Amino acid sequence: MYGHSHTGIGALVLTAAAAAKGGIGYLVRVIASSRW
Amino acid sequence: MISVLIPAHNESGVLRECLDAVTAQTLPVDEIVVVADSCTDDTVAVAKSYGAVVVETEQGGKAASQDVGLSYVNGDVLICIDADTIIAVDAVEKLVGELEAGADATCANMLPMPQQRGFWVANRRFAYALGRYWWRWCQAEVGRLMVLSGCAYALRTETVRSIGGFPGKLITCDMDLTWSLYRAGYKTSFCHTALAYTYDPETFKVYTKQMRRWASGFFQNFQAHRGHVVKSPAALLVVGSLLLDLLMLPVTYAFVVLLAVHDPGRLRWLVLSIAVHGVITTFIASRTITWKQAIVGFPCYWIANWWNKAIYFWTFIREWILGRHYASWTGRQGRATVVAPMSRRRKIGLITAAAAAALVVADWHAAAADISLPDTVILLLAIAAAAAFSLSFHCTPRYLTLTSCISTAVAGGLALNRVPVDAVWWFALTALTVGVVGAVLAYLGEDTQIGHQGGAAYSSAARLPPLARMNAMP
Repeated sequence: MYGHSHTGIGALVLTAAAAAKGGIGYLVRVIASSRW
Repeated sequence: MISVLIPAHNESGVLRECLDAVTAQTLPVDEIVVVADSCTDDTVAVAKSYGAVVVETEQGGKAASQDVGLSYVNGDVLICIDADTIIAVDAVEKLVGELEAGADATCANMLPMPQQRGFWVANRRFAYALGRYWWRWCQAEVGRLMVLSGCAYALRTETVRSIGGFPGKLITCDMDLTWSLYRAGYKTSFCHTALAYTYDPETFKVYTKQMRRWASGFFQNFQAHRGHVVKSPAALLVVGSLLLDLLMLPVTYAFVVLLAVHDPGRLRWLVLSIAVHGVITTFIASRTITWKQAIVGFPCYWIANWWNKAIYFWTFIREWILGRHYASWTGRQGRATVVAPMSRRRKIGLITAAAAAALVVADWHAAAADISLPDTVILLLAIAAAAAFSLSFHCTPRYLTLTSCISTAVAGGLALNRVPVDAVWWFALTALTVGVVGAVLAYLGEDTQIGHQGGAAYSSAARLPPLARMNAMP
């Protein structure tokens, strides 16, 4: 708690959102840095 | 130029090791400012022996002390550290690196002191290690780190000056600072490579006290910053996901009990989910702490997590439903615990809401049970009133009066529902009326009791501003 940890459906939602955002960010960085 | 700001209140026992760590950094700091707040030990002498700029003051609070120290800071980068914290040798370098990479404020990852042992410390060690590569990473990724850990964080001096200094109105000033920065449009980051070791609670009593304060700070913070939270999807996600898990707590308890009663065989799925949770989280935690600490830590963390949630759930009711705010806590410094009383407006709102809910249920019950609506209404009003008063029981010293009135009301309501209209019915109606009126009057009366202290000091102290109030408490 207090921002360090929590468990449950909400935690899964947050993890999914962060993973999606991180994943998209990663793809964008890869695409942007590629030499086409 | 890098400045370190350390607020301290009688911390001479731990300040020396804190300053040892600060002066041994791979990226040297240029200035150390120690704010000795109401110190009666040799904190000042210890700080001076390290060449620190020492500011002696009588503030009675961390944020106020930091604010005093801020005016003595000359550096453009400010590292804020608690006096009972030891930062890793490269922590300043990592934190400054984050600021140079574009963050407006950043914080280190905390861990309990390595020599600390015990159930509560093992739980905390696991939680911090897990947060390092999970929750805090998630929060930082979506752009709303829940809190810049107060024990070790960094920001530009100009940044904190631009928001008017360190905010100190709430019980947890680090979270208040973090969300004040968001409101001002600043970005935070989580510097997971910088480590800070701090003294964590070792006993159930102290742990519970700390969690109670943290939970109160959490709800106070999101009440104070609700305008920003509802406007920011990222903030809604971070705060909403935590609230959702919290409010699901009673549902989860009920689900487990029902499962155990009706279909114990399916409890194996629950055990399986805990085992999967254990394997994943232990693996994540083991990236920061040793395997042994992670394996030992998981059961402690899992059990403590239920206790944490129970504390948060009760605090949610106290802070947001009852409106009783935790205004001062009893820490090592021995301040009095102060919990603000409920306002009369809040009490009337609670009674009205309980009565309205009772009417809705009464209507439904009368239709379903084929009994007269007035009988059901009277019965349920008595029960709803009793429930509302029970909820507020914590905030009044009139236990005997309330117990007598509520018992009378409930007994009257029950009797009304069971006897025909005769002398006994009128007697029962009188009992219900007297009971409800008595309870309402006792309930709406002025609170004189505060938290864990005898109440006499509160009524006069409550009218003073927060800091003066803290100083005025016994």
